[in-house]
Amino acid sequence: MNLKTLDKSTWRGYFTASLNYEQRQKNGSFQMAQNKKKGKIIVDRERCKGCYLCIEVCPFHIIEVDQELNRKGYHPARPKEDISEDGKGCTACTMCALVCPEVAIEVYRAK
Amino acid sequence: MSGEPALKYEKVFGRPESLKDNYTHYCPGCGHSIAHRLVAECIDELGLREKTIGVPPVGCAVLAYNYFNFDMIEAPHGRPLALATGIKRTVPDKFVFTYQGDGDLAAIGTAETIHAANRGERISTVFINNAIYGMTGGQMAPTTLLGQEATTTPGGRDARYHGQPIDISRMLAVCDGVVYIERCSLSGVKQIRSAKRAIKKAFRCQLDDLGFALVELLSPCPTNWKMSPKQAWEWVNKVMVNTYPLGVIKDTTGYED
Amino acid sequence: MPSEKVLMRGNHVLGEAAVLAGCRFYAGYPITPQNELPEYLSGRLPQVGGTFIQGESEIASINMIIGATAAGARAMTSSSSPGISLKQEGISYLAGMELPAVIANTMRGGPGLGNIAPSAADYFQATRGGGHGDYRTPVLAPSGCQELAEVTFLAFDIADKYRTPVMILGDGMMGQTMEPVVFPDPIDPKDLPRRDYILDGCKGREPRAIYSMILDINLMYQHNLKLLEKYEQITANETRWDTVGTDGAEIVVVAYGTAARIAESAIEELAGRGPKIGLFRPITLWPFPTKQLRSLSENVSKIAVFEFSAGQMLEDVIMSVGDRAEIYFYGVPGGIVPTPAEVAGFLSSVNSGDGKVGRRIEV
Repeated sequence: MNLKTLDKSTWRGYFTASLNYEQRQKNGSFQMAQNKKKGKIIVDRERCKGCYLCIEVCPFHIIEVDQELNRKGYHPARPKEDISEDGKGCTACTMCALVCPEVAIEVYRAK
Repeated sequence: MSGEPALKYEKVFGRPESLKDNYTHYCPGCGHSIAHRLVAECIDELGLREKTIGVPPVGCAVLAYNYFNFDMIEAPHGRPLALATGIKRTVPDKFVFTYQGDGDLAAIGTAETIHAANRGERISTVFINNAIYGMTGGQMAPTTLLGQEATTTPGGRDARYHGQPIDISRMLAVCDGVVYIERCSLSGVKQIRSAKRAIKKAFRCQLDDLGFALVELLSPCPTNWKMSPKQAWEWVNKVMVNTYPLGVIKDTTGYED
Repeated sequence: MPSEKVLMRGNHVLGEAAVLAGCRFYAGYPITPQNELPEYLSGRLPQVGGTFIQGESEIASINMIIGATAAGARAMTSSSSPGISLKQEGISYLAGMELPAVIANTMRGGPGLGNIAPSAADYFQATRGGGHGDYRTPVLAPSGCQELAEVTFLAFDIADKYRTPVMILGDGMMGQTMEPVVFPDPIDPKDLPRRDYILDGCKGREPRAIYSMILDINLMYQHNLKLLEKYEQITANETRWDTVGTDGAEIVVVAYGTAARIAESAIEELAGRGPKIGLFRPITLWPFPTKQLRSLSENVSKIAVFEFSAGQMLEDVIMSVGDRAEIYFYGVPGGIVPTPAEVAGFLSSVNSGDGKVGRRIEV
């Protein structure tokens, strides 16, 4: 893999994903995640068509399938309500919105 | 989250201005919706919306004028590049692009495609390759892979009977009037980011009066491939790229990415 | 102030008249017998800042002018019979999208590849479709180079006024014949009224979409009614015809284009040697001057239709005349151009009823 051709976000992802959970807790990068700016997403449930590509790509698995149907008969995706308090929440990486075909996801990052 | 001070949020991802708010008719997981958004983002970021004239295809994207927030004109099947030629030569200060599928660009429109490219028309083309005819219900496209089942290739595409899948992008690269052709895909985060970069570069070729530019986008079609959106992504990434490898096919722009 | 009189070949006359009428975009593909037209425009259009493109096919060319007219230019394409067949899809789209454009057909022998002789067997193609859907195309059939220059101006005006494609129907003989012509006053495209539906970028306004697909059947019905009303207006306002010596005539020849000129010569040959013969010459083939021919036929005993075809305008004549007068027909398909003497023979046959040249049409 030619590291020079990776763009910045992929490089960061490669770095953090290669470390396991315990190592991260030990060497403080977990602290970094906690101090990372918080993010949140809003999914337009009537616009969502249930392709679940957002669930596929979310690195922190904070999106789930809503058991209630929307008006078109899809089970839309939605951010999990019980996102844990230990920092493994949304970081506004925008990958979900990037892959959403319907532009149904708005992403907000804490200032 | 309890116990934390109230945070102020700013929006970091939303709908681009060049994309209307309308609910799309595209299937769940369709590449068109993503491609539309990328095109709209590039047009916004280059400040082109008020001088853009787009020509959509006949295909699933025939109603693109309901989604793009700028001037558009429908074209007979396969002819967007002829219309775009007429438009660009009449109003050369406007930004003119075509958005076409594999049947529109590489079957019925082959002649118009080759000659607009060969003339080096200052037009940008977004070519959506989903290896099948979507709107009409899944017939073979010129880009359908060998062995791929389509409604008109029961048993799978056969080289002797149906011919090999066509690589129109490599064919066009031969023309001197073409300055930039790249093939990307819409089947993953990395791929979508790369696709946007390529689309923007193709648009710049027109703005800088360099020549004809085309971006081919391998696009998931879950419905006609009879897969889930996730499986469609995997099919693009693992199977389609063997026939249609990603990457730059021609680049005489001199741009440093 | 009219221009000076010049001696010019028909194909060149069409090109010069188009440019003077404000045409600033032409796309076309070479096909005999109209090649002199694109050749002329390839040099003339750049002189006035216009665009000439030799398209890769007749299909590409009609589509290029769809784009050019949508962007605001007075646009024209041309071809000859087989190439006009190729353009039919584009013409239907122009009609459905309500875009103005001029299509010039310099007819030749057919069907199929045919020949390059001046047949005039595209009447059906021009006036009945020839593309798909409920639309009509105004068709102007000049008779000679001077009228060709004048109808070219008229074609662009009708196209713009009603937002419709318009066809100019010439033939290979007219295209190749050199005649003295005085062109009408030139028009500067900047002086033309600005069209409020063109695509020029959505700055300061809502985006526009030009399309002909209307999936909702009720909306499509309304759209077709709107087109129908337009065609009724064109019929009411733009029907054109000419008559020569029809007052008190016993026999009236119905002919258009080059055939009409030969008929006129034939009538002159027979002058004073039999009953009075007049000429009724439709100039708009659609809208066909039905009412005018019908009222004329009430006062004549015989209508003699003469065409360079196997009988196409004949059907419109039958529809207009019915059984008000006897109808005779002399058609010469394949590109043969009869002499005035031969046509005089037909008219003598009509007069005597001996059926030697041409035939009686039972209605």
